[in-house]
Amino acid sequence: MTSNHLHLLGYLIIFLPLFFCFFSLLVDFPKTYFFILSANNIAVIILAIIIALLLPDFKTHIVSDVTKEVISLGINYNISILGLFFIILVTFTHLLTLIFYQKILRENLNEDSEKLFYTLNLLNLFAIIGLFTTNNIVNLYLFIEIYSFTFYAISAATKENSLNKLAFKYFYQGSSGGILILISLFYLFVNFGSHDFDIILAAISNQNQDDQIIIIGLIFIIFVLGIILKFFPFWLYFDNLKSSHFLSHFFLSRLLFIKTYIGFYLILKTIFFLFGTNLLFTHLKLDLVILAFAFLLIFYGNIKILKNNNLKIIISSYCLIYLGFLLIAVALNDHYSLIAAFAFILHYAAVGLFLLLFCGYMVYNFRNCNIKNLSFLKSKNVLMNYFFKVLILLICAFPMTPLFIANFYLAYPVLQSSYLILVLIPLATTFLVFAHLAIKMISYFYFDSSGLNTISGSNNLQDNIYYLTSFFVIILLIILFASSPNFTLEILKNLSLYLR
Amino acid sequence: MNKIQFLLSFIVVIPFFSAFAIFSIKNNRSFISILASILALIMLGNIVNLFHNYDGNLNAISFVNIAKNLDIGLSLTGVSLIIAAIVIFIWLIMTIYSNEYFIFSNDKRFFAFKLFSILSVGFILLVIFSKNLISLFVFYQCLIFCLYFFNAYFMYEKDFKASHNFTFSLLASSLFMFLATVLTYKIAGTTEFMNQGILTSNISSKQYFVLLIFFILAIAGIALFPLQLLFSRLYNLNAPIIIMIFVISYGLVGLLILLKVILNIFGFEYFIKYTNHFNLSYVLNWVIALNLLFSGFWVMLQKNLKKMLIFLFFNQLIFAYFLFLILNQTIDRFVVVIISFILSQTLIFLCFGNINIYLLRSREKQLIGVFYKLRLTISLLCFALLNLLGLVPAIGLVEKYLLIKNYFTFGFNMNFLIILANLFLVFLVIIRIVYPMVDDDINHNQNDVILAKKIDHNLSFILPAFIVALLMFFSFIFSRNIIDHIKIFLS
Repeated sequence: MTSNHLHLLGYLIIFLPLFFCFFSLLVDFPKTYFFILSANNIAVIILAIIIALLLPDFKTHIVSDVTKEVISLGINYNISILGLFFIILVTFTHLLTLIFYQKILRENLNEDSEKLFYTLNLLNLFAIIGLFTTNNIVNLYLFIEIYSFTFYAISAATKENSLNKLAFKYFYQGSSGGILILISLFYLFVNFGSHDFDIILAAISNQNQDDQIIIIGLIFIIFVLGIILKFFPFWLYFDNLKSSHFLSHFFLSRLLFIKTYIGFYLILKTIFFLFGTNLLFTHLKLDLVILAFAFLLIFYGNIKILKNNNLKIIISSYCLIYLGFLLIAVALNDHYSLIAAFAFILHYAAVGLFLLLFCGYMVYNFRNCNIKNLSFLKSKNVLMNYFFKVLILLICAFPMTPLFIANFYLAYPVLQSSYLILVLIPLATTFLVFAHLAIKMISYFYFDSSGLNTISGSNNLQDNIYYLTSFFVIILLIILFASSPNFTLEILKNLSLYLR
Repeated sequence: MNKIQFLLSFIVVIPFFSAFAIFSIKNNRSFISILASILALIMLGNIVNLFHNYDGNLNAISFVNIAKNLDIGLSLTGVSLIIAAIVIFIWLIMTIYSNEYFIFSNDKRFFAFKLFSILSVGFILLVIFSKNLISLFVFYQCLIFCLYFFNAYFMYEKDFKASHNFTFSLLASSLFMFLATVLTYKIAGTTEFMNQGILTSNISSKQYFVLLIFFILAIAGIALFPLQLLFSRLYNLNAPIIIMIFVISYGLVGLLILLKVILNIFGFEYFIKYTNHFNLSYVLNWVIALNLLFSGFWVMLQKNLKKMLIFLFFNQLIFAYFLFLILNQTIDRFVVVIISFILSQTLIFLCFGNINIYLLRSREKQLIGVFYKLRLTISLLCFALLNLLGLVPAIGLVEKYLLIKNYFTFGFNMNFLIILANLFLVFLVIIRIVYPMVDDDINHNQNDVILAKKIDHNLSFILPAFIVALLMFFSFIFSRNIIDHIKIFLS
C-alpha cells in the first residue's frame, strides 16, 4: 500500500461512522432495520480495515498533518498500533453487544427511539475512533466531550427512567472530570505553546527546574483525577447494578467495557506520550504511588468478588482488578510487564465480556444474575452447558489464554526484584480469589437446584440465536488466541515496544 | 517423525479418542466396557513396543512454539517410560475391575466414571511425557481441571466442604507450580528437561532454596489429599474411584513431578549436594521418620476398615520415600521400592473393593469369618499385606533384602530402628485386619454365602487381583534382571 492509500484509509476509519450517522438522520426509512444494519456494518467494515492494516506487521504510524490549525477535527490524525488495538477492541465490543442485545433492544425501543438510538451509536463510535486516532490535545478534549454527550443522549433515547437517572449521575460526575481534563490540557497548551502530543512530550522531557517539574506533576494528578471521574467512576459501579431491566444491562456493557477501554487508552497515552515516564517515574517517583493505588484497587476488587454472588458486581470488580494490574504493569515500566498489560486488557475484553453476556443471558432467563441460580443451565440448550464449562477454565487462567500470558509476563520481571512483594501478593490473591469463584460456580451448577425452580425465557434455538452466536464468537476468538500464542505474543510485543 | 515419536504420539492420543468414542455411545454399557478394555490393552502393547524400541534419546516432539526456549511438546526418558507403564497397567486393571463393580454396587455413574478416568489417564500420560517444565505445567493444569469436574461429580455428595477445600488446595498449589516455572525460566533461560539438570552451575544457594520451596508447595495440594480423605467423609468413596484419584492421579503424578524436577531440573548430584549443604536431608530424615511413626499409630487407632487401609497407604508411601533416603539414594533401587508399593497397594485396594461390595449387599454385614466365604479375595489380601512385611515370595521381599544389606553395610542406626518400629506396627495392623476375618464363621446366611461366591468367582473381580499378585511374584523371581534393566534404562 502506498502512503496515499494509507492516508485515505485513515480518513475512512475515522469518518465512515460520521457519514452513516448523517445519512441516517437525513434519510427517512419506514423500517429501522436499515439502521441496525448500518450500525453493525460500519463496525464490521472498520474492523476489517484495521485487521488488514495490522496483519502485514504494521509497525509504523499513519500520520496526517494536512493542516496545523488548532481545531482541525479529525483531519489531523496519528493512527498508531496502540490506537488500532483499542479501535479493534471497541468495534468488536460494539458489534457483539449490538448482536447479543438485538432482541432486547427491539422489544424495548419503539421505531422512533430505535432510529435515534442507532444514529447516536454511530456518532458515539465516531467520537471514540477520533479519540484513539488524534495526536492533538484540543481534538482529544473535543472527542472526549462528543463521546460523553452521545453516551448520555443514547440513554435518554431509550426513555427509561432508571437509566436516565443513572445517566444523569454519570453526566454530572463526568462533567467534573471533563473540567479537570480541560484545565490540565489548557495549562499544557499555554505553557508549551503547542497542541501536539510529541512536542509537549519533548518539552516536558527537557524540563530541569524542580519547581516546574512539581507543577507538571500536579497537572498530571489533576488530569488523572479527571480521567477517573469520567471513565472509572467505580463508586457508581456498585450503585443501581442490581437493576434487572434488560436495557440497563446493555448500558452496563458500554460502561464497563467501551468506557473502560477509553480510560485504559488515555492512561497509557498520558503516561507514555504526554507526560513521559522520565518525569513521572525518574524525577517524581510516582511509580510507588501508582503501585500502592493499584494494590488497593485489586484488594478491594478481590474482597467484592469474595463477598458477592451477583455476577454484575463480580464483573465490575473484575474491571477494577484489571485496572489495578494495568497500573502495576505500567509502573514497572518493563518490556515484559507491558506485554502483560496488553494481555490483561485482551483477557478482560474477551472473558469479562463473556461473563457480562452470560450475565445478560441469566437476566433473560431469571430476571437476576445470582450465581446460585446456575443450575438452570441444565434445563437449557446443551451448548450453554459447554460454554459455561469453558467459562470456568477461562476464569482460572487456563494455560495459553491471555490471562496466563499476562500472569507469566508480569511475574517474570518481578521475581528477584525489589517489587516482588507488591506484585506477587496481588497476583497470588487474585489467582486464589478467581479459583474460589470458579469452584463456587461449579458447586452451584451441580448441587444447588434453586435455579431449576422458576425459569422464564425460551428454550427455542431461534429465540436464543443471538445469544448463542455471541458466545460462540467469543469462544472462537479465545481459542484462536490460545492456539496461536506466537501470533498473539508478536502483537503484544509490538505494542510493548511501541510504548517504550 | 521417526518410529518412536509416532508411538509416543499414538499412546497419548488413544485415551482422548477412547473418551470421544465412549461419549458417542454412552447408553451401551457392555460396548463401553469392551471398548475401554481393548483400548487399555492396545496402550499396554504400545508401551511394551516403546520399551523395546527405546534408544536412550529424547525423541522430542514440539507441538506449539510460544517464545524463545518456550514450547509445548513431548519427549521420552527412561523414568517417564517406567512410570507410564505403571499407570497404563493400573488403568488396565481398574478398567477390567470397574466393569462389574458398578453393577454390583448399584452405582449408576458408570459412564461418567469411564469417561473421566480415560480423560484423566490421557492427561496423566501427557504430564509423564512432557518435554519441559512449561509443557508439564500446561498438561498438569489440564489434569487438574479434568479432576476438578471429576471431584464435583463423585466427591461433593460425600463431603461437600472437604472436596471443595481439596479442589481449592489443588488450584492453589498450581499457583506455586506456575511461579516455579517462571523462576526456572528466569534463572536458566529455558525449562527443558535435561538428563543432568539445567540449574547446575548458574544458581545461588538462595535461588535454589526458593525454587525448592516453590516446587514442594506445588505438589503440596496432592500430598495433602490423604489427610483430606481421612479427616472427612470422603473415605467412603468406592474403591475404583479411590484407585483412580488416589493412586494414579495424585500419588503417581505427584511422585513423577518430584522425580522429574529432581533429576531433570536440579540434576540429581546437585540436588544431593544442595540438600546436604542446607542439612535438608537431616531435616527430611526426621520429618519423614516422625510421619512414619505417627501414621503407623493412627492406623492402629482406627476402627473403620476403609480408614485403616487408607492410612496404611499413607504410611507405606512415606515408607517408600524414607527408604529412598536411606538406601544410598540410588534411583534404580527407588524404582523397585515404588513398584513394590504400587503393586501391593493396588492389590489391597482390589481385595478391599470385593469386601466392600460384599458388605454393601450382604444381610449380616460383618467381617467375622468372611475368609470362609471370600476365600480367594482374603487369601490375596493376606498375600498383599504380608508382602508389606516381606514375608512372602514377592517384590516386598526384595525391598526388605535391600534394607538388611544396608544394615550390614552401614551398621545399626536410628533410621533402622524407626523402620523396625514401623514394620512392627504394620504387623499389628495386619493382625487386627486379618484376625476377625479368619475367626469362626458365625454367619450362616445362605444368601450371603451365594453372594460371596458370586463375588469371589467373578472374573472381573478376581482376574485383575490375580494378575497383580502374579506380577508381584514374578518381580521377585526376576528382581535381579529388573534392577539391571532399570539401571540401563536410567543411564
